[in-house]
Amino acid sequence: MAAGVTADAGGGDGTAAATTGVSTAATENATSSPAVATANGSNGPDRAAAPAAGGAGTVSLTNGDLDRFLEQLMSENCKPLSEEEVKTLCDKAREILMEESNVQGVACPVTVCGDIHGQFHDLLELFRIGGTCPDTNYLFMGDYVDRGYYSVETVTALVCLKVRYPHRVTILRGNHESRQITQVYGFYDECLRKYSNANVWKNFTDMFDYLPLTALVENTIFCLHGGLSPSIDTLDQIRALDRVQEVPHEGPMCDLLWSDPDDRCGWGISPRGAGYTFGNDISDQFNHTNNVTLIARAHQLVMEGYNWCHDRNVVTIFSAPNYCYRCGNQAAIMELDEQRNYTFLQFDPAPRRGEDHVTKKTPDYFL
Amino acid sequence: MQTQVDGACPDDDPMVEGLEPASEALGARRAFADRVGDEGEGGGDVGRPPASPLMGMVRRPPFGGRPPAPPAMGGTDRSPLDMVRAQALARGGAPPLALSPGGGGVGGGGSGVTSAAPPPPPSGDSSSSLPPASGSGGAFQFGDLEAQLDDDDGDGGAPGTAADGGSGEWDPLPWDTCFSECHDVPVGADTFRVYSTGAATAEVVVLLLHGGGHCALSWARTAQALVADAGADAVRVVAYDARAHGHTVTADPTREYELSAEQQVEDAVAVVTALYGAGATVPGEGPPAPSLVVVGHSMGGAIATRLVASGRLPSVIGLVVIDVVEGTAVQALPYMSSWLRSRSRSFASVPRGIRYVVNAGHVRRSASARISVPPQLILVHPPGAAPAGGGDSVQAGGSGGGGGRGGPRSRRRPRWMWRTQLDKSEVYWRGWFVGLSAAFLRCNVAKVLVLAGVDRLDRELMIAQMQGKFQTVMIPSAGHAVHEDEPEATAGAVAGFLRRNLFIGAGGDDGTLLPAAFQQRRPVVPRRA
Repeated sequence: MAAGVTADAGGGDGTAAATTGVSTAATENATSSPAVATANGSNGPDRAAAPAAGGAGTVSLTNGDLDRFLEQLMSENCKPLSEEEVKTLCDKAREILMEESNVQGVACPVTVCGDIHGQFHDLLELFRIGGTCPDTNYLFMGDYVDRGYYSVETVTALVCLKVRYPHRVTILRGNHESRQITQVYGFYDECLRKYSNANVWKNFTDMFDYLPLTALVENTIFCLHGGLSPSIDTLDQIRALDRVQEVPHEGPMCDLLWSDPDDRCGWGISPRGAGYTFGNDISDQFNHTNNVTLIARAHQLVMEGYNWCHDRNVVTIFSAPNYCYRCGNQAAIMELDEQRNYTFLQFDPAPRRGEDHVTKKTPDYFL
Repeated sequence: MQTQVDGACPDDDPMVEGLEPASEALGARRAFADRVGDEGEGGGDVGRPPASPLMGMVRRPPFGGRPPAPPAMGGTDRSPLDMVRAQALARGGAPPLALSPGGGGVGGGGSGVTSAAPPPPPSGDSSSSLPPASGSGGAFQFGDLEAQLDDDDGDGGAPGTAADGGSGEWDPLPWDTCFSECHDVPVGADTFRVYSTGAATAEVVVLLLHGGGHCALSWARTAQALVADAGADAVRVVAYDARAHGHTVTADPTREYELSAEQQVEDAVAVVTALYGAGATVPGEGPPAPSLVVVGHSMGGAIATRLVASGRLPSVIGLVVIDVVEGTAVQALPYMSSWLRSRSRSFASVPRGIRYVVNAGHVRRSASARISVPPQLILVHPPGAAPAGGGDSVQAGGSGGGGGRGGPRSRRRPRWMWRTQLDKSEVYWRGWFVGLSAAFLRCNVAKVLVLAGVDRLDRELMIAQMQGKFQTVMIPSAGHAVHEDEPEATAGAVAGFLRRNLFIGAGGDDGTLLPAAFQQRRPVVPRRA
């Protein structure tokens, strides 16, 4: 592990230097940011402190580097990192992620978020609503890329935050964090467009293999992207999975990233073509068996941004407002305070520029 | 060989190159293409083709050795399609026979219908549009002048050359390249051409509905790949020509272009009932009908959706829709007419037509187009030119009196033209597509949407997809004719869909599809989405 980064993250996240780095960026983004008051607009002190991280681990990436990245990324005028910077970042992220569990422990308070799908400007809005890192701890439940037009910016920013604040930010794997899916739904093409080659896509997708599959908040709230698997009864069975691989087409790892809750009892074949549907009885049994009170998951668009089901055994959280720039849905995040009380914060799309210029190809023949 | 680079050989309609037919000659050609009857005294230049860069070379008739044509029916306002109908009625004599499961039952009648035993190459199939595999030449008489003016093709005109003969890269391929059976199924007074393959005893029948202007044989490669993928014992694959398409014959000419969604659903129900008995529509009546999975492309996808949503066929268990989404289709409709007008209208030969379709990108695989394009073309004789032979050719305009004034026209060559006049279906386009997304979501069976591009989902389907209500399969390497461009991938999507929903066995005994724990502990009930 990188001594500098982890030491700082473990004990010094709240230092003035660390706070300054990201909040500065936030200041530039939004005058309404709740974190504005703490920002002083200078990252000087942080850079001075940064060299401590140098040389630790196999990948050299200082907090100063990371803060510089974040400053560059976390604004409306987001400028993607260079190809080399992305490679270094992904290597560092992999070092951190490989130490994490398939069921990664997370402490409260934390804010739980669902799909982002490359809607970078809405991610900035999310930080305005939920608070900036590291003032607010975050747990993202996957699907950072594809569909939206800013997958590169979105995933770079989130991975940057993860590497900068590894104990305050948790990022799980979604079904779109996959080589196969990203080649069809946009991330691959976007990387080619923005970097003129596939190296960045390869660096990111190689790193995706190390993302944890699930998280457990204070041993009571089980968080994952998709849902339950008929092959899995206990959290220990998840811990035993070998997750470092491309998302398979079937099997427990696939199911965790693909399944959906359903109104009907028992297991069903998912209409999606992967994973299963599971009924209230299944959720109830799972929660009872594993002594958890709630399954928080993403994966499905819900018009209000969040949706309870299965007698409040399951909640769906979706954090991409007006999904794919056409669905008209609200987004939401779930704040959990120290007492594990939850509050849902809903939000609408950020005023945006850019996307509207991207025209969709209309097929020329449709008979 | 020449002009294979861009597919716009000079003899094909020049509009493929985006040129407007400004010249008098082109205008005249268009008049011909529009099947204007031979009544007008349109000027002596009507027969002159556009100047060809290769003029001066010797033209030969495109095909020869045709069987005698039926006598042209009277009237001056006939479309070539009337002729097709007339031929079909004339040639058959005996009504086409019904398909008997397992094949057999069709032989005589000269309808070209065969079963079980593959027919000889297209020349043996006297259906209206398949060209003979080889010609004996000289069937048509051409004036020397025209022959010189009109010649441009070194590959498409001469009988016996590679382009016409059967070994060239644009040569037509017969239906039995991929299908095992072919029947003309009477439905009321109409006759639907039905192709099938796979075991007749299979529990699952995959019914394929083609797109507008296409034909049943556009499914040929996919059908072949599907049987190979799913197993010949597992599925029966059935495709038919919709009315006004391919070899299907509508008895009442005024009803041929009744291509409304409602009528096409009626047709589908009628065809299925003709094939599988009343049990297909009324459970318990007669022998039980096999489970049906309906697959449709484009217009056929819209019809498949309406068919399944109607509930008329209770044995339907699955729906596969290929590259048609209401939002994008309706958006594209205003451009459809100009798209249709921009197509080449006629070809000197079937290989020319195949080459055009491939080079223009409408179908990207020649292996597919060589099977699917021939039924889309019919040979149209210029008004006044008496066909020397040919139960498989038609005459543009009426022949009554035309011959006498023929003059220059009589020396014009016959041309291969689109069998389906899609512009006649324009009044129905909106009806096919408006409300389609809601109807798709209403279909209470497992369903998959196969798309050539991710951007094609409209809001309604995007939301539903993101809620996991149906499966999408993207085949971005394909154009709109997904199943012709990527038949293996399309068949793979369908076979995977069948397996996953347990409509057919999972294949292989390793149980990879369903986790062992799932199989042991929780009985699987296929979900109706």
